[in-house]
Amino acid sequence: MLRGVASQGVAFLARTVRPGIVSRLVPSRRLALSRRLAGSPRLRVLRLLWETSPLLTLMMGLFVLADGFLPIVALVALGRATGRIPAAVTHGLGSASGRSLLIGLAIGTAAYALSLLRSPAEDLLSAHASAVMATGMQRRLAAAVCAPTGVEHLEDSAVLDQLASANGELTTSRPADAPMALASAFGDRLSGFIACVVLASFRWYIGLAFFLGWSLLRPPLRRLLAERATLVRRATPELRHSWYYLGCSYRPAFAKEIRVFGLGRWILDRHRDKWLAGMEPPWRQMRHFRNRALLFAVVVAAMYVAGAGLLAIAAWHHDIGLGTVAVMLPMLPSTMQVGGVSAADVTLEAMLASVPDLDELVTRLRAPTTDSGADSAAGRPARGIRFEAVGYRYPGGGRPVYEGLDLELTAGRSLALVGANGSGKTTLVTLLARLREPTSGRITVDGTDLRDLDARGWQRQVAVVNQDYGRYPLSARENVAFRDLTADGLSADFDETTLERAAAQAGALEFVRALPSGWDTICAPGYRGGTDLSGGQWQRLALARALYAAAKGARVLVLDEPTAQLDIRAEAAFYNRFLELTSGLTTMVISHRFATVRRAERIAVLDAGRITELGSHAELVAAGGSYAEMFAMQAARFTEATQGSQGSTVSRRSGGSGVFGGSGGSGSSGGSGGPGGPGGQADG
Amino acid sequence: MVLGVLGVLGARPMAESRLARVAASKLLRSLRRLDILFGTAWRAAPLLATECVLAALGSSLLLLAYPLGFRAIVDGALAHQPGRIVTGLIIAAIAFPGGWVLQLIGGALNAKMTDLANLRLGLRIGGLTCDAPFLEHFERPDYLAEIDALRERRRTLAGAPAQTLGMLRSGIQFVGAAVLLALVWPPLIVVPLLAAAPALADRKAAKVEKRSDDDLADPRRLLDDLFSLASTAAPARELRTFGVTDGLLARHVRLGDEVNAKALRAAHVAALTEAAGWILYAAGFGAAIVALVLRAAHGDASPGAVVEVVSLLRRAQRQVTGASTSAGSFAIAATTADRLIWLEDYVAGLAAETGEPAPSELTDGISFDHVSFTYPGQETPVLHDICLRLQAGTTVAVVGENGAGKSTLIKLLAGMYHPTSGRITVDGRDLADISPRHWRAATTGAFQDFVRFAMSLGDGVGAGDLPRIDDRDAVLSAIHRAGASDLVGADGHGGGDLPDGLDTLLGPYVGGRALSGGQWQRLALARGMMRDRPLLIVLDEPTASLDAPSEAALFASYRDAARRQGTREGSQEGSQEGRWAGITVLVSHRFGTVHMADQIIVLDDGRIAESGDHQSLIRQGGIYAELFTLQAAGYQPLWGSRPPGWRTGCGTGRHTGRLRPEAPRACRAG
Repeated sequence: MLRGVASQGVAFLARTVRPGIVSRLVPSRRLALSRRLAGSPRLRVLRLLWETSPLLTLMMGLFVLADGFLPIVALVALGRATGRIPAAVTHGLGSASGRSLLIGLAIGTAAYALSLLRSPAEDLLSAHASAVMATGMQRRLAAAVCAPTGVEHLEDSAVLDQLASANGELTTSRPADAPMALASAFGDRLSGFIACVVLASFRWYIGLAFFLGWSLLRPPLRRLLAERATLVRRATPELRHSWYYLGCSYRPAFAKEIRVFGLGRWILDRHRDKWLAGMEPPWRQMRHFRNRALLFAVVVAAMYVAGAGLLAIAAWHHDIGLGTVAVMLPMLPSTMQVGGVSAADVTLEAMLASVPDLDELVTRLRAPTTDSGADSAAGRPARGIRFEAVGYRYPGGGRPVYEGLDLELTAGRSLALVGANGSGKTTLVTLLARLREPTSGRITVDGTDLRDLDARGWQRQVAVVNQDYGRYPLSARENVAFRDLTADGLSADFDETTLERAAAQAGALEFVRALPSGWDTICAPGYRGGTDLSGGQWQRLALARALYAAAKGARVLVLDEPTAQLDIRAEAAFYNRFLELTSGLTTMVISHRFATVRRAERIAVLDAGRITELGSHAELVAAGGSYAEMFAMQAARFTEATQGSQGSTVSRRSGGSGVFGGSGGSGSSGGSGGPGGPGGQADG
Repeated sequence: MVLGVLGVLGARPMAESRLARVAASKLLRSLRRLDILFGTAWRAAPLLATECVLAALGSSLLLLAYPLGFRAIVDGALAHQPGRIVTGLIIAAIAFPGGWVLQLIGGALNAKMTDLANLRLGLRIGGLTCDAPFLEHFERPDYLAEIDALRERRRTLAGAPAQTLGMLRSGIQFVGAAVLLALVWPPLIVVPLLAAAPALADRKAAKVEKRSDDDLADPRRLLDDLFSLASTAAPARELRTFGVTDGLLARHVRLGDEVNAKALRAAHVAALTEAAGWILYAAGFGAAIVALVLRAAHGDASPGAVVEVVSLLRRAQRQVTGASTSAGSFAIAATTADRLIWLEDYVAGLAAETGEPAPSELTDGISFDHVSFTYPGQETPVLHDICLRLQAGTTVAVVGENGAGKSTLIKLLAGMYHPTSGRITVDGRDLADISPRHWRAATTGAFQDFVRFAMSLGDGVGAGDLPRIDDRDAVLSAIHRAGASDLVGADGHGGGDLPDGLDTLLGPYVGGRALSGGQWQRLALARGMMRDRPLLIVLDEPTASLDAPSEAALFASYRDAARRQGTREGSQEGSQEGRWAGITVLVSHRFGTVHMADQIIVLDDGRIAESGDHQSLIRQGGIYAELFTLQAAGYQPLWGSRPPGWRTGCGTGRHTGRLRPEAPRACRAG
């Protein structure tokens, strides 16, 4: 250990000449940029606090002053009182010395008593500050991520990392607690400084020496702590892997495969390995910290011997009285606060580490990623939407998804899009909804370039049932009337009739009415009084949400695998009502299920980034291309199967009440079927 | 101290069972609790833990000592005793810097110890949740809540040793201060004892805040949920297309203000309570100083003693503040330890590893013998009295509506639950007697809610057969059979869509690539194809987002594999290669594939409604026949402009050519 201390000493001397270890290890340009943008994170936090609540900032200032002065005032007053003790012993308490003893005593105890209220005051201020800051910072972040019209930023892992950091997800220390931690630190620093000033009143050079001594010791130690926080931040990718593996072990979604494949141990081993690998740099760095601290302890000891020794010598020679000794001695430990480094610094650094992330993220996202045009989107499309030689490539490289894609959606008509997995069907939807910008070519609406339309307005024209539709922890009503969501309920546009109609069309009305609180039921199991819905029920809600939006003015309806979670009856009911649901709307449907696809007026086959076939079902089947082939393959399996069962009889057991098969009334046979066979109708 | 710790630990009794043998089991429980709280850190890093304890002891003793040095200096200077002054100087010079640096180092060491204990606890909790053979703890909301709480508080639990060291340090300094004060003037001992007032007030305040936190749990969760909706790609897309980003942000703001207002009301009450405690302490403290100084003024105490006492009281006060915070965290840690004990008992109660090894091949098949099943903690059975025989070497399809019990049947087969009544036998042996781990090693499958493993593509597929995870050929072959070769190229070195082939990192969460739903699904299928000669393949709607040609190809391959297996059984009986006669069970809504199965089981409301092959079921004219025709109608030619209600589910096929108008009330929209 001693050798370690010695080598640390040498290393430290060498390092003071060179720039800090962080910038040497990784000369990260991003880090430098964020520093320039954010300035000192300490100042940024204070400015944030001032912006959110000036009153609170003033209260904190008051707290810092009290925290700095009261303990020292108490110590000085009590020390002076102690100095009067011998005189009071000889002359009695009624004498002048006795009186000044009593006065000092009174001031000292009063100041002490007040300083004891520090902890409740701190708790209260801290509750205020962290509440205000936490919501304030999250608001800024939420507003920032919502600012871009597109969503590419939310697919960028660098942005997501910053987001996690800024939201305080990476450490246990919340950035919102930073102001209070900072105020406490300032209070300590002030108190230590005053102690130095008091010492200086005895011998100016002692006060100065302690001040300089601590001030010189502090930065190297603090820098090490700051580096630790940065190292943890930088280990994020590694730690992220490790968290992921741990998550696999306890998240229900992984449970089945973990068991079937016996992955438990393996997953946890990986968690351990990745985590240890991620934590290794901060730990290694902690050893430097320890060695440096031990070295510094020697310096501190020397300061103490010098300070206390000079006091003792002065007292020995009667250069100073007892009062001065009694005041000055307790000042020695108090000076520590001017430069002491404690565990609070570690947490403070961790809290502050994410502040640059917050600022950088807000700045980065505020920069317009897509320019919104000025033309109103209301009433569009009146004629149609055209993809003109559209190309798209995901940021970060890879093969382009499309090159020169041409496609037209006629207003008020339906188009089905089919294609193999990964052919870019869903990406096309995001281009249509202006959630992405084409990398080449353009999309026009009624001949106007989509870029010239008001982006938000256009997006609202597009009602989408996404493949991974939202499951919002809101009431069933708000889940469907989502378009009308406001701060405290639904907007004035909301109307119950449209809601019920949309729900009925989507086959959701029946089960919603059966929920514990009907339309007001919270659709999330984790909440008090909340209910979990099945996949099929959620899918119907998602469809109802889009239909509600369409009824409220959205003119484009996009259905991305709208029946994936529905059972056979519900699916049949859906495609049988396809024309009714989509009438008057410019519809795009994406599905692997031909029963749905073929209902569309036109069908487009997407292959290798181009539309390879386009036409009605009959046309495409007649053309004998890949669509015809795929359809034949599916259909053939039914024909094969029926061929093998010639002469079979088919009974009619129609399920439910007609809306998507209703709610499982499968047992009730309602048809006229039965042995004997139904009356035939010739094949078209 | 120990009694105190046990007292805190006893605060939360968890298990309801076994009220008898209270004393013994309580003691045992306390010991286990202590083991979790302290043993974890000790086992994680014995050397480090020792260092931490030494640093805590050293720093507290040293910091206690320096006021003694001050006293010696003051009194020595007054009395002109050089020896005393030098002693005082030495004490002050060693004690304060020593205490300072040990405290500093102790803090760093504690952080590392906590990190290591945290890792160990994570592994322990994860190990338990993975080892539990059944899924009950994942599917019962109350159990899941316990596990979530355990997970969230893991770090507090890991921090228990550090907190305890903090309390120990406080305790030593506190008791030491009390002793030293008593030595100066015995009545002074009252002052540290008065510290009970702020400590009690703190606890009361903590309760007030806890209650408010409980009340605000839902709004706070919603706040976080709203934030993650705004900041996650998929919902963010919807927020934009529905034009409600502003509405959502406004709601976030309103909710945040509401939460803050309520939380701050509680904070005010708590702060007033705390302040009352401190004022009481301040009164005692002030009285003691005044009394001591007046005593000194009368010559009954030395001025040095006054300096010492002021320094000591200042230290004692800081310890009180620290100790009450530590005690709060420690109480949380103790309840969390109880949750871990609960989980351990629960998993131990499942007796995972008793059981025989699984057979290496099937000759007869798997039978359900009057099997009923009710999910633990629920009332209504999901499966009623199922009697079923799955012939070795066949393909079985399970169909039925949502909620009919198909997935539950699969879970029972895969040994993720045991039947509530009745039994499942494998070649005549009760599945409950076979070790779940061994049975699952003989099983493979793919599920509708398949996992999108965020790791390298090769690992994610190879995880399907861990011993061969690094066998590139095996992994490539599985990928090829699942029809995902275009992703990685033929040699897995990046000839396909992904330039890094098998080594491509997947999963945006860890900075890897995102794939489309169908691509992920193929990888899940490939994973399910890794195991060689499985006795049971369960496919629970694994092709929901696959396109038509791939689905057809996949099922053909499963069926053909089963058939090849069957013929090999016949031809090479007794040889090494032949006869394992595995069973493939498929859940699907797609009748175009279902009909290929050797046996089709129709579940309806937890019962077997129909069973047989396609032909016989069609002849039966029951649910199967109805649903089949309903779906087949989707592939019948459409007629010009007839309303859709006229075409539902009536075709039996183009060759039989029989279609008839559906009864209107069944098909027309409601």
